[in-house]
Amino acid sequence: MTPAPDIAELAGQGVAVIVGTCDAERRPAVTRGWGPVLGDDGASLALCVDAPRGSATLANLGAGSLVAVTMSRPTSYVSVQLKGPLRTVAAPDEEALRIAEVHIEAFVRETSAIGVPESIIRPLVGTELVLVALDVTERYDQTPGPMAGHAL
Amino acid sequence: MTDVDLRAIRSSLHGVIPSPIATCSADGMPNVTYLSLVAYVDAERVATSRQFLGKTRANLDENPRAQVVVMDPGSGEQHELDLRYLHTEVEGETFESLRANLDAVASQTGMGDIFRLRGVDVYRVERCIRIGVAAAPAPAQRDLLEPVERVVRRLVACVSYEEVARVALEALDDQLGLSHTLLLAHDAASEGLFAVASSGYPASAVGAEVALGDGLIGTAGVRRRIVIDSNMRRSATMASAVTQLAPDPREVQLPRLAAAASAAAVPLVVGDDLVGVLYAESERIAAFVGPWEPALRLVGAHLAAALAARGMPAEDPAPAAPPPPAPAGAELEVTYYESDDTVLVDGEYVVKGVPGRILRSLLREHEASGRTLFSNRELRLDESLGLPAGNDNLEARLLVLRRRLAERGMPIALTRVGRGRLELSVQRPLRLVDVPTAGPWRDA
Repeated sequence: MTPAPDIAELAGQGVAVIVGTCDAERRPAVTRGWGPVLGDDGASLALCVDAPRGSATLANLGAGSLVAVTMSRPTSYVSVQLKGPLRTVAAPDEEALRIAEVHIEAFVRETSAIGVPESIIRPLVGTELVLVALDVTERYDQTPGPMAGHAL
Repeated sequence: MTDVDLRAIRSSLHGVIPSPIATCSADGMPNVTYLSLVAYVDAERVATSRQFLGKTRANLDENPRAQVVVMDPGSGEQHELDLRYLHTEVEGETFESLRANLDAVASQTGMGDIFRLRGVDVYRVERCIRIGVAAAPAPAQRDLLEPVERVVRRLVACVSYEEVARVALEALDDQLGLSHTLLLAHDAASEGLFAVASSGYPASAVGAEVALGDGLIGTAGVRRRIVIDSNMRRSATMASAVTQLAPDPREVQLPRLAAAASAAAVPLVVGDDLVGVLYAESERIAAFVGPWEPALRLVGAHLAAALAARGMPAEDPAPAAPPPPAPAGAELEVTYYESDDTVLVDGEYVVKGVPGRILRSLLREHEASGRTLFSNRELRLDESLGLPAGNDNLEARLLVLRRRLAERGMPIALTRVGRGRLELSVQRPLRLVDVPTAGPWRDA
């Protein structure tokens, strides 16, 4: 059996990041995230989120949705999911954008290694990012296999 | 109704890029994960694979809404689909189609049991919109009908099994640009497939064997469904523990393109009979999506019919043959191992299985009577060869034997001298050695 993933280490490895929210009618929305940073000894997570004007994700964040974030490393499939209440939503500052840029480059290297052309990865990065912080209250191993879904 | 017609985004529904899915529990906690596959069902429905998705499953039971994002592997164009879960299927066309593909990939990467498909979740698509920044222009969709028709016309003109096997792979390369292909015939007795022709690989694959159910090729054979792996490197990554067995030097290895990014295995079926499998590889990801799947099915159907028709018993009259000159030179030692019908010539592996038994039988008869001319009919009547009744694939086995002898430059040759007629030529005096197997493990 593979050891439980190290969440902080994984966050720095060019992971694919997806972010889930929902509205009051429990309609889910999924989008991508960039530059995840764990804080408070793993009790919080900050990241840039693709949330264009008019999108369900932006509306859900504005309404204070709970948030789920899955980070998955393309070259190993090691994955974790973090969940919890929204702490803040703001326009990304320069530091957050710099971290996102570093992450995007690492992500492109990861996906290139499994044969996905860079030309179709770059357009995944949205042009309307918001900076989201959440309290991490639930952590799950999401690596495909028999341990998928187990709490960490 | 959806904003974008699902039929227009079918190339996004092949699992090349994992698709994120979000669901939500009744108490408002979202869940996000990746799906191996979001598959097209019809203009209003899609299906997803259910493998490790415990929380997704629980959420859908409480709240049937989901959202997925799919991407076209050619253009990078993304679409967001709002879904409503309808039901789960554990049988039927959609399930079997997805299962064949997932099983094939899992088998190929040594993860067969863990990646077992437990069901397919079927959803109605309530909304489908294009999202994201402007994508690169999609590569022009190639019209495959005309080149497929030219392939078929060349198959129809072939007069023998051997010619069909050769021309099929040549035509796939010339007309469709498929430059790395294998053709395998079915051996019902051993529940396996054996290569009768290959194209585009540095070494010939003729004689290489694949067990039914093993990898893409074996899965296509056993399920009798086309299987496509659109991103082989991703599949290999998915498999965290692949068993690496050292190749047996006595066996012919199946060649593989080192840089293969996608592959398709097409079962060749006539009625209830599996005739063989056609396999193609490409260095491009998603090389066999969109119109390629129906095109390959069409080629497969015609190829299967052509091979089956040319494999049927038919014989020309026996040609008059002058007695061959007595062979001269050093003795040629031909060793036959009863355990698996392996034949070595001067210590070099030539062939095994049914072709091995045929070679031994021909050489024994030649040694005893000096005969050089043989017929398919007598081989079919020779019970010691153990050919199955019905579809015995004798032509495919003889093709493997002829090719293996020729490719190894052996001083023994087998030549087709008319329909159902063979001529054996032996250039050196023979010394035939049988190595019997005493014990329960004879696997003939």
